[in-house]
Amino acid sequence: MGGEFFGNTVAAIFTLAIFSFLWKDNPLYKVAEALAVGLSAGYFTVILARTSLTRTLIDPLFGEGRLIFIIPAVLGLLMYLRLSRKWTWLSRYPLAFYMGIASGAALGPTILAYVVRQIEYTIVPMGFTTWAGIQNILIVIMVFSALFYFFFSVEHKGVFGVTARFGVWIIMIAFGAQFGFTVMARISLLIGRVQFLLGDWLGLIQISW
Amino acid sequence: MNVFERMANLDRRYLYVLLMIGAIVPMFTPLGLPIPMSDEVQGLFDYIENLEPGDTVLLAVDYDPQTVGENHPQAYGVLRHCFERDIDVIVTALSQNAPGMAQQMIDTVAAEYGKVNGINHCYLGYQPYPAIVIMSIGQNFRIPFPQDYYGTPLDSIPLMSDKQNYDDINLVVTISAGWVAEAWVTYAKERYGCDVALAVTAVQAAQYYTFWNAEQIVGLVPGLKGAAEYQMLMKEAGMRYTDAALRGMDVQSVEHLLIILFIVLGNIGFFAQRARSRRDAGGGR
Repeated sequence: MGGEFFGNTVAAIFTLAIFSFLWKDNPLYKVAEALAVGLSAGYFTVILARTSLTRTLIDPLFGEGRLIFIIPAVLGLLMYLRLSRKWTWLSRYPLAFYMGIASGAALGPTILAYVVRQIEYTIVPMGFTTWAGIQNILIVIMVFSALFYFFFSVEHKGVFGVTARFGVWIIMIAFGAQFGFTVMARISLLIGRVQFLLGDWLGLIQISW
Repeated sequence: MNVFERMANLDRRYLYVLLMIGAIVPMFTPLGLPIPMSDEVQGLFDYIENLEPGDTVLLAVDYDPQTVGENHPQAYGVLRHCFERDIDVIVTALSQNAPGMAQQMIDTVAAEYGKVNGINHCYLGYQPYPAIVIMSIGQNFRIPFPQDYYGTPLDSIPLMSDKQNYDDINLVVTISAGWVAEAWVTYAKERYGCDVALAVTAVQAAQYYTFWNAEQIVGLVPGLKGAAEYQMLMKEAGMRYTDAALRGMDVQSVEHLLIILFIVLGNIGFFAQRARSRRDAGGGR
């Protein structure tokens, strides 16, 4: 209990130090900020070394004697030649290898997820007899107008201008929804900290997840 | 300085103080404001309700401590719901600061329901490069996770011995505060055909409604609001639930009202000032 309270007190002090920036910039805030950045970087480095380097390279290569792992080891080391002016060209080979694999693996599913499915669900039955049909008409008009705003091969005048302008309004509504959600997210961060300060630290309220 | 100028140039620190008061007071005196249900949250709840005891859900804890206010109630809610329904749960943590939190969550909730590690749940822990891990699971869990978080080989774990890849699980639920949510949809759903649900922070939610509308996901729990809805659904179903998200939504409502009030005040001040300066400019001619 004593250890937990000490830990929570340290966390609470740093929470309040970060909040103090809202009043004005100050040394306490700077210390807390620098500690957060430094601790995160240090923690991530250790985690990455343990999981990425030890488990997926050093253990199989030296522990299990799987010589095939020499290939990724060499490719990985070649990456560091970016630091040398003379040998930097060699770093392009692992980079090309990495880019090729990443693109090949990601291209198909990404196009499917972000393009094909979205187009598929814009091809919808329209009609004026049902609410769903009317909604679908609106979806098609709004998608078309928003896309038309980015079509610059005709001058946005007359009917084209009206369509593009309507498209801008639709995009603005989307931005508005995004902003509303962002405000909610930021308030949620505050709620999380207040629940910690009042519950975990001071014990004034009972918070159970 | 007249009243309109004061309204337009109000020191932002007054707003911060009021926001802090607005966050503290409802914590002590819950307002119990109504929370209307949405189809996307109901979608995930119903999906889990329709699973059979013994089915398997993969719960991906993909957030860091800074978003616990939003993501914790989502994660705990979904995990409790699964255990209420006797559904087995495999947990991963693909965010580098998540492993400790995920372990704490499993230990806490499993103890509530008397669930046994290796039989009813299995914690695989963290591996870097989420997209590669998600793709690898499509081939075999053993590629990214040869052993669980505690170092036990997967083949020695009863729950995992017959689980090879996405074909052997019913649903992936990612509790996410970053782009990992998209990676689950892109690879687990679109490449391997596994059903996916997203529980995300509110800042991400707007862009993921396209996934929901295109039926690429079976449910979407957006931010604290979604978490509160999920807790309400559990409460109505007579399950064990907690009120952290419900209390949080009271605070959200108060804070939003305050922000709207200050936006209105600021705008009244701005337009009154502009009208006055135009009048003064006109009078000078």
